[in-house]
Amino acid sequence: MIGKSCLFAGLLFLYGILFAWQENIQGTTLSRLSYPLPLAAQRVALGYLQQLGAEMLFVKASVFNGGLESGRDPLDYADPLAQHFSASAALHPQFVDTYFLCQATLPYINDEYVRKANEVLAIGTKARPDDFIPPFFHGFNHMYFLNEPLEAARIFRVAAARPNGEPLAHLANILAAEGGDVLAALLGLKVMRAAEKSEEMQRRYDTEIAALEKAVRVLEAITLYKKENGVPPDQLPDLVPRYLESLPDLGSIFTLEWQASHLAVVRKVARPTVKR
Amino acid sequence: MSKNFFLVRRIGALARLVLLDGLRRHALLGLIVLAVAAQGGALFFFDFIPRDIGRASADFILSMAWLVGCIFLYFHAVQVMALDEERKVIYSLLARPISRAEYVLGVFAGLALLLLLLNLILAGLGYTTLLFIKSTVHALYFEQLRLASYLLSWLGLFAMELMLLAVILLFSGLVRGSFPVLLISLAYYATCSGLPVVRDAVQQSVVRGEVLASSLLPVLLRWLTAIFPDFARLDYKNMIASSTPLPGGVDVAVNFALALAYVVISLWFASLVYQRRDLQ
Repeated sequence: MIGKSCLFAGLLFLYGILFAWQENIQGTTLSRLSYPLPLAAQRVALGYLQQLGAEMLFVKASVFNGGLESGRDPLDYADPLAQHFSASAALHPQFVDTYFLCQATLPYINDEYVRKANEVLAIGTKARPDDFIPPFFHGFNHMYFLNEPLEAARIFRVAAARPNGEPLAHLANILAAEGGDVLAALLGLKVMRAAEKSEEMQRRYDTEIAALEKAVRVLEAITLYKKENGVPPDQLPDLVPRYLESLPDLGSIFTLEWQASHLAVVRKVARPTVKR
Repeated sequence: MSKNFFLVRRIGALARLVLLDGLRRHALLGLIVLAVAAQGGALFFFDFIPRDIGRASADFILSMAWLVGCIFLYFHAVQVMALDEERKVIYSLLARPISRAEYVLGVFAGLALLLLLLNLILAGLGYTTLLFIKSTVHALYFEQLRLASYLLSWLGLFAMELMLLAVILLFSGLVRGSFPVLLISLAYYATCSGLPVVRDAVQQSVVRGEVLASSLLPVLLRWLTAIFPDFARLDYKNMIASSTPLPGGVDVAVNFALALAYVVISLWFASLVYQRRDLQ
């Protein structure tokens, strides 16, 4: 009896030692995020629990992200993280937290993951037709990370058409002008000016409209140049004096830039540098 | 007294026996304790959700109810049918002036009543939990809790459970022993969950032009859905805490009418199977 008791106590002690050892090993290894199961397998396995499954994926990604060691290379975990967001959005597209966490993590890794984040956000844009947040994030990524103002403008217009998203219409027009779609930007600003009640905002729109109207005259001169010479001008000063008396001054907000064969109306404020 | 009155009385008496047997075996109480513990988990779960708390909490409550319902169906309901035979209870029941079809309907009614009782209690508890969660968070994170959507979600859940129950009764007639019935019932549910995934994949192939819309496969898959129903069509839980408009009355009516027809047809088949079955 005493022998059995001693053996049992010894076994318990051994178990405690092994457990402490295992805990020690786990504590010193880097936290890992495993890949989620393929989407089709999850849909079959979860059935009615799909939404809960998506929320669990979000919680898993969220807890992992919260416990990340400082200085860790994001490419170590970027792919499984992106797959967690893709699966979560596909399983429960209405669940908004996926889009917030996705936006807060993936785009800061590199341009490849900006595009992956945008794929996730496109699901949210479609599934939440009254929410301007997913298209706002999507447009922001095109504007800030990818430097694609025309695409950003297109997506901001989608966001602007949704409840509480109206202020984004202005940004969409400014970005359209920056991307070279000056006529659309001018039309958009005129529509906003007509609907605006605040005198201060009306004055601001008037200034911007006046600048874009000057840019349209440059655009017309470029079209004429191209018609007569078969090619666009190498630089804007080539338009002077035959097609324009002088290059117009667009005022304090904008300046003209000739970028890869399109005329961009660019804001004078310095473009923020992407922080990663 | 009409013939139908006695028929209903006989079915009702058997249903009462099944109901009391379920209560005696603590099927209801045990599951309620489990569900209360699980719903208590909702109070911890929503702590992990930063924004969409209303939606996540409602999903959690309904999902736990579905899990509890599945435990009831796959363990209690399957066992009730099998034990009736294994313990020879069915002989003493059928020795009474009750037909085999009435036996099937009586057992179904008894188990459905237990399930209804379980769902009513869980729905009440779940609604209270959601109200509590809503009162503790900012309105931005739990915009609304719509009673109509909540009730519709539970009705959808109950309809799904009744469809599964009817199919379990049919399988219990076709196969002997609780374990094979459990396996076949699980396989049936997996097929029901998997079929929409396969249909989506084939539909994408149709869109890409790899498969013709009129070819055999899409048509076959569509008609297989009549046998292995897409339960997602009765899943309304996404509307509980959101401003998504409720589906049209016709859509809802068609979904529930189809579920009802499915239950009736399954029970009809189960009755036929039991009538022809050798119980020795």
